Amino acid sequence: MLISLNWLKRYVDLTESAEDISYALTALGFEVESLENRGAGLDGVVVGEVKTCAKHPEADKLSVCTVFDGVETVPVVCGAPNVAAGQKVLFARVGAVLPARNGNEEFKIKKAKLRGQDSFGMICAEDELGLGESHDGILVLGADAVPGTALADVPGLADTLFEISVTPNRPDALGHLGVARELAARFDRPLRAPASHLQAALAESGTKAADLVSLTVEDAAGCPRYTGRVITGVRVGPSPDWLVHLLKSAGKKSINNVVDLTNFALLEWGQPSHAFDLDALAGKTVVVRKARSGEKLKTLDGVERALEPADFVIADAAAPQVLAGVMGGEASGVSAATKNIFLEVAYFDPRAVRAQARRHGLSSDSSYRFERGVDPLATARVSDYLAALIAAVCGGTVAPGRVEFTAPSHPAAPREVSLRPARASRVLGVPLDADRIEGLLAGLEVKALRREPVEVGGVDYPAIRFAIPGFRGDLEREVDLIEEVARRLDYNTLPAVLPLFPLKPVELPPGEAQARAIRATLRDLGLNEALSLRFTSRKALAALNLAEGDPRHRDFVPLLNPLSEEWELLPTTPLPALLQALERNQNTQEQDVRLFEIGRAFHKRPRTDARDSGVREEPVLGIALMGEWKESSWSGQKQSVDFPRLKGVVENLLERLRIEVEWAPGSSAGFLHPVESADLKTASGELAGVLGTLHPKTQAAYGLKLPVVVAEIYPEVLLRAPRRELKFKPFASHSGSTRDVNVVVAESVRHADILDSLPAKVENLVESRLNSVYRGKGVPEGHKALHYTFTYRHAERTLTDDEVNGAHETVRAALLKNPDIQIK
Amino acid sequence: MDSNNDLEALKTRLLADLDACEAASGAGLDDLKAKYLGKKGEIYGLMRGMGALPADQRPVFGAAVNVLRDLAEERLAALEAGAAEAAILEKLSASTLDATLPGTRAEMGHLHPLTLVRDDTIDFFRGMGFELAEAREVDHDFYNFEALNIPPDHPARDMHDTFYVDENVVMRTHTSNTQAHYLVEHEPGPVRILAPGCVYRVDNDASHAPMFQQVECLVVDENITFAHLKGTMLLWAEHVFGKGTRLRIRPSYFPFTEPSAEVDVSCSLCGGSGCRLCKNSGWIEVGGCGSVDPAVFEKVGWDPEKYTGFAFGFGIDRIALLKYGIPNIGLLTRNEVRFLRQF
Repeated sequence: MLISLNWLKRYVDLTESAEDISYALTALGFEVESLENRGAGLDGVVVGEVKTCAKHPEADKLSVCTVFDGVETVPVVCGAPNVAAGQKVLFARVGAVLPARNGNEEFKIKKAKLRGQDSFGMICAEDELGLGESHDGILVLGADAVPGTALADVPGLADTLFEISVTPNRPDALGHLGVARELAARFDRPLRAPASHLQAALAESGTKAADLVSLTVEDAAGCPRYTGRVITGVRVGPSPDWLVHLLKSAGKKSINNVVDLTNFALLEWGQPSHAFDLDALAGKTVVVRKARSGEKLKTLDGVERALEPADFVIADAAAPQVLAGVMGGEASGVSAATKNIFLEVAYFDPRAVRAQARRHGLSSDSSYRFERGVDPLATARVSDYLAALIAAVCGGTVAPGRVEFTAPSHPAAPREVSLRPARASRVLGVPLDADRIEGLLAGLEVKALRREPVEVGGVDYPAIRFAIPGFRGDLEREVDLIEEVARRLDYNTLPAVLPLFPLKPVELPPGEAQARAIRATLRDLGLNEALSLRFTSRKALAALNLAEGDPRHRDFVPLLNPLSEEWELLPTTPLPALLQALERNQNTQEQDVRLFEIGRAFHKRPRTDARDSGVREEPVLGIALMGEWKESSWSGQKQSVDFPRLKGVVENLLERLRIEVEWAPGSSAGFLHPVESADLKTASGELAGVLGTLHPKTQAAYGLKLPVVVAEIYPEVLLRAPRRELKFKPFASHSGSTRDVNVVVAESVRHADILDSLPAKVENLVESRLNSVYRGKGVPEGHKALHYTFTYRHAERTLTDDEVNGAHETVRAALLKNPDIQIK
Repeated sequence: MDSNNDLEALKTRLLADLDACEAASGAGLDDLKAKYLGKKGEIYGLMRGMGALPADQRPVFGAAVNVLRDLAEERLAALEAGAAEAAILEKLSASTLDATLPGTRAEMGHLHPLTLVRDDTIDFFRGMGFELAEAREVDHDFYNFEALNIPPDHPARDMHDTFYVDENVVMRTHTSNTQAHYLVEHEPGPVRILAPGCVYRVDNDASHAPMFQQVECLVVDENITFAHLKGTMLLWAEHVFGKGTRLRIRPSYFPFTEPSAEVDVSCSLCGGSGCRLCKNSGWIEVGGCGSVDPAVFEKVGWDPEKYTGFAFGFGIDRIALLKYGIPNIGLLTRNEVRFLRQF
């Protein structure tokens, strides 16, 4: 909402600086988002009179003028098409500095020669002075402007504008009067209400309104209060300067005097109104009713709208003329030819207006105010006020009386609310007595009626009964008044106190504690934590190359109103986002990318109760490694990421979490290499994760060029898995003896097969460690050599060579018994 | 007498040899040691020859030989130590290492800046006895809106550009749904909870992301006041932005709190005098807060006359942007390692 300081000053005397007023507005709850001083700093700009004006001898589009600036008459070359002799204009003298705009720097006026003609100054357009956006030509002032008058002293031109944000509970501040009321209370000054001096000027004569037009309200729910006035013989034309200036300050273009005045009332009271051309209303009839199927209405924005039976409209005898509370129709609007006006001022039901504004995707100044609630008690007052104003500005006669309707349910008197001073003290934490509270609220026109006890929960408490003005629909309950008390005190003056609580130990929930351990471990292992937007798409899921029936593309959750097609679903796995992140890093030539993320997977599931979301949410850990894993910061040692690297990361993670898992080689997850992959299972057989080399199809679908390995791990499953206790185990004080073995096997024989060849128990064998896997010289094609070290140790004594050799012979014999194994 | 002469001569030779060895920086030290102190060395030779002396001369001669042996041992030990020291020095000075080389570091990993802020926030409030509470990110309209006093078709819904999953199910637009869950799911009593998490709005531009993180604090008891809200928030603001941080609390509107307020902190960069960070206002908006609206207690079946409380919430993203000087919210979710490695 754009608030003009000139406009506010109509109702309250404000001598404070713009900054102080801005601070006050913000402290009152109307956050000032921007502040603009229009016409400030334009010292050398004065009213000038164009004495002569002739075409430039050498340029078609230029004129050569002489301008009197109150002191002297100087030659000026002007490029505006609308310049003419006799005009009063804004003239920038030599030396004046025009403000920076449209990215151009500020501009100092100098003596100049344009195509051979002297030019000692500049006749300005509105935008050149920062007074508005118009560059339709120079700004022409009224004939009564006096040459030499400084711009700041020309009424209405210079102004201070506050762009304030008004919360939905304060429709009263959607008009200047409401904002002025707040400032008057804050600065403790009287408020001059506009109605008080103009209502007296309402002069009615001629035929009664009720004899000129008939009103029927069929939809009392949508329209609980309606007033109509008739003004005959108006002259539609341009608005007077004061009106044009005020509307311009508030960001509204002048249209004609009648429409401008309805906009003026809107921006003054926050009360929308509508002026009809009475002669365009068929049957001189106004009906507020539901729309009928098939009816259409071309609204003032030029759009023809198909109406629905849920809509409610203002119709004449033939057709809908206004989408009630939202926008008028073209057919019955005020035009230059209009002579007689039917003026509507009404209270429309907020929900009904909001519903139809949304139905038609149309939010107007009018619907914005109606849906927040206009003053239900001010309808007739504004009707009378605005009728008088139209007659005063546009001429014409106000017909006696109003045609009107009031639903029985519509309030006729201010609401009353009780406030217990003790409760206010208890909520705010400051002592407050009744006198203080009454004084504070009086400034907001919330009047104390009497002091009378109020009963709450069977107990009588001392309280004050307040009458709530109609424009404060938000004040319905005691706590609403308590907030007003706090606001009047200024929140910043209230004390800051720490609450006292009994001691209580607070543990992190297990899931959060585990998540922290996962993050810390993976960070320590050299991975970077990612955070992705939790949106994905069918396309991104399809690109994973999932098998039929894979849960990742089952029961997913689409959004009804996604921002885009690539963000149409909630993720079922963090992998698509991580793979996309790898691709972004690939684009910046990163060679070593290690990401992990504890994301969230969303799946539809049956509702557990009426207020259940019907969506299962669970954390899923994703890991994605790409490229060359650098072993150190600069030595150049690096190794392409591969399955063992990833498995090592996961093994380290599980070691830190003290969880034992089963590794089942060859995962069925479609995005993994069928051989270079594994499933993780907990002791109870639950799937705790999958990991492996990215499947070449998935790799290609995500446009990834470097090697990629990925894992998906389910923290909730890990949370259910048993954890190894931290317990000391005694260790032998001597190192034991080792014996090495080189075995040669075909590629198809796995490390696990070799270890499985050993008996379940070999006396004194405490460790079987793989040292290396070798392929190449000395090893037949299609084979590999594995080098093992076996350690033999007795817990209490040193073993003899014979004992060690005996045990090792058992191992060798067992290996040799396996026909797939050769010992070198 | 001969023996005494032999002793003197040996001593003279010994000293000369020791001096020569010392002058040669210990060269021939081992030979010298064998020559004099070895089993077949000269000093033992004298000892062995002692048998030929008359018995009464033996103790005197023996003592003299011992003195000579001690002298030899002492001098040789000193020479040995000197030689060892010299050998170490030589070895040390032989190193060609360039100590200006960078260290051999492992590539360290990094936590996301939002995790840093989130964990810090959790720890701060946990230290004051707040429990962590969590709620769904996809939630029923009831918990996200209705229980928080935002009925359908209320203009306050304009403040929340909401993603819908179906007519009644939304992506939560704020962490305040945790309040509703907690109060519905617990018996009335004292409450001190903290609820961090992701929230969603239909919004995507330079300063708004469709998903961002908030933290919500809720305190309920029989005598919780607006003053307690201010006191608690001030502690938090000082923790995040430093001692001496000031708060500006200005009226606002949230249907689930009353009084409601927006919270600004004095600009951490300029201290309040005005700069680019605070757009010359001296203040930075960090969150919203208020006393729990009695309507919320009514909706969830707690006695609004008995219980009062406060809630406040702030954006983790916003704090991270301010704290680390991150210029663009979009950087937070692009997951580029050149960004992530900085934290």
